[in-house]
Amino acid sequence: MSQQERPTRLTRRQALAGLGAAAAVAAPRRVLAGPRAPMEEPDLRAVRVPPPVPATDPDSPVWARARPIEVAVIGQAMVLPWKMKPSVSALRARAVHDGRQIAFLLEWNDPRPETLSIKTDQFKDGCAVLLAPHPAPPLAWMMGTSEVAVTLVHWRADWQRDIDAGFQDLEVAFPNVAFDFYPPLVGVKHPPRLPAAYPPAARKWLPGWHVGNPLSQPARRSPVEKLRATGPGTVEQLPTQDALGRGRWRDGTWKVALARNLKAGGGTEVALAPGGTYAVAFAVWAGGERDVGARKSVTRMGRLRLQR
Amino acid sequence: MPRVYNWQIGREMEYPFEGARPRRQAGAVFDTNKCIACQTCTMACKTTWTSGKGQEYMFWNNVETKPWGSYPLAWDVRILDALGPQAWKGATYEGKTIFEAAPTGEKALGFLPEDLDYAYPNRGEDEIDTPMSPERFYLRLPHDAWFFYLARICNHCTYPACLASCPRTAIYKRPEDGIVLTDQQRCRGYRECVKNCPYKKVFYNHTTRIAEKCVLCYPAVEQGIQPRCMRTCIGKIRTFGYLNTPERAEADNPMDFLVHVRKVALPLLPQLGLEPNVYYIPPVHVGSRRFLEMLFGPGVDGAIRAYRRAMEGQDPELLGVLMLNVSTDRIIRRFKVTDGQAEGFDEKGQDVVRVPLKEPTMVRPFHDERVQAYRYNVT
Repeated sequence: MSQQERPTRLTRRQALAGLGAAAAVAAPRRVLAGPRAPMEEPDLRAVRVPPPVPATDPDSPVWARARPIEVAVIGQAMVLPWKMKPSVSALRARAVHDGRQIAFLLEWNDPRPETLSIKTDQFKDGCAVLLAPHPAPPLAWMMGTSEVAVTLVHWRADWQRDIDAGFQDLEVAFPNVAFDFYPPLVGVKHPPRLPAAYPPAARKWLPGWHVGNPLSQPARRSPVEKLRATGPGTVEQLPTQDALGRGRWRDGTWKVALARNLKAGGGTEVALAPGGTYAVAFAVWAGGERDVGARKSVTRMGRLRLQR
Repeated sequence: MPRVYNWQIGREMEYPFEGARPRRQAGAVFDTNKCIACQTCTMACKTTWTSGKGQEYMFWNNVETKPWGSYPLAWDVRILDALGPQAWKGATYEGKTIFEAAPTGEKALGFLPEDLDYAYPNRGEDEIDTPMSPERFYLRLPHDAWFFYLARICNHCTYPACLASCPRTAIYKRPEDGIVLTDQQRCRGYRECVKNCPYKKVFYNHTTRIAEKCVLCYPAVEQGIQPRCMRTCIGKIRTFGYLNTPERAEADNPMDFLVHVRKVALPLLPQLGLEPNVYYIPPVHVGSRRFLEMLFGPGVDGAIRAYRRAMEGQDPELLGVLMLNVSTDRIIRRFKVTDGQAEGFDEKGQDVVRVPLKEPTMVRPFHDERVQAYRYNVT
């Protein structure tokens, strides 16, 4: 098999070895101040609330209607590259649904918010919810398997800042940047602001944008992307992007609301329904620790039950 | 981890993927003795590929002065320092490659440059290796005080660390020509490639937030035309073509001739284990053989001897291949040296260029009777 065709596949032995390694080096420490020790794997109940769910409001009083759980967070030692020591030791999660949408609220401690990913050595904060049919095979925990496609709802601090403050281009990271001219922009007031200053014909000078890479789009509607995965390294955006969310950092804590429709929007999205039970896991990326991709802190896979 | 054979280090080594050599491998030879660091290659590449927003600091092609220059800052020193002792026994490397030295939980040994590391592309330019002092230095070969220019592009390695490191196989090596490319749709900006390419020839685009790298001007190469950095080289230091493995070397292929037959061109930091496909004719004037051996491996002495022979007129074949450098935009697949001239043939066997091994000298009279004028330039 040629190098470019060889997919990343996780064997059962690798998975078990990884689980053991992660557990061995990443014994959870308590960070969030709660009365009980964090649970090893999430057992989360999504409470039914009158519509709408607080999809973009991490401070909504509606969240008080859902019982929070505190879950231990461990490193990731199943897929290279590993992250042996988790950036956070625990996270708090809760969930509500209104029969049409489900919303999660994730909270974790982070001493400094990282909301940019412009420089080479700059990484953003983020979090994600993994959803799979229940019961899911243990291997599905790490981004699904070729048989079990998982759905990921991924909030990104950099995208939220793009939405709030406009596309964060290099002038934000390099305020004194100087340049003469960006072809083929003639007569454009400098610095050229994306996306307005780049007509479609000029976008091939920004190849990622030109070919439609979701990471490279300067105009965003939501800080949350909806992804599918069938194993490590296979993540890709689902055809419908209707997930919502909003994060808020205050006093050393991120509080992030994420929401998606219960109904699957196509592709292999995992459909949810009131009364149903699903596999769930959470992940956190701390930009200050250079977390990115598989370098993440994760919870084990547990259970999500939706109130009827 | 699979084991693959790396002929540049004379042994098998560990690599995250099974070996899969392309049907043919594009490569180049740079003659460091002829490079004047005019940066025409750098600007040809810059204006062709990296003039967009977010690419300001990117030089897919750069020319740095050795020993002090480096772009990004200390790219070579840092990886060599991290790798530890790099011993050779003859043509066999006995130390560890970056794949074999990978820390637990990593695909390879590497480091992610900081942003400021890209801010000094001309650091060390034209600086000699040691301070001058009048009592020590005389004009002789090799020079007591020396520097030389090292033009660098992506090496389109046989065992690329960028490709091996990408968690989502967004980097691939084309089976038709071995060119290593980053899939601009698939990349998610993890920067594992930036971290683990020891040559630091994968870059992060500030605006599109994904990785980019040298594409070896594949649209031109597909049409039998050399990459921009090669064909604009005014010092004519560059040979471009397709390279075979040593056991399949063809003596009339310019690349094979330079690398395998005359062994005058050597890989850059072969001990890292990537089997890079850009080769260098080492500088003959450098006073420190150990420095050259660190950069180019154990073949330095032989390469310099072979080069000197050609320059002294004892190897017209080698001279002929070097004279063909940048003599045509076409990719030369075969060459022939006869009757004081070198001929280059393209893929179809067509004669695309002929160059004399020695340019004829015409002497014109100082005073031209016909136009009643004096000439200052008579040859």
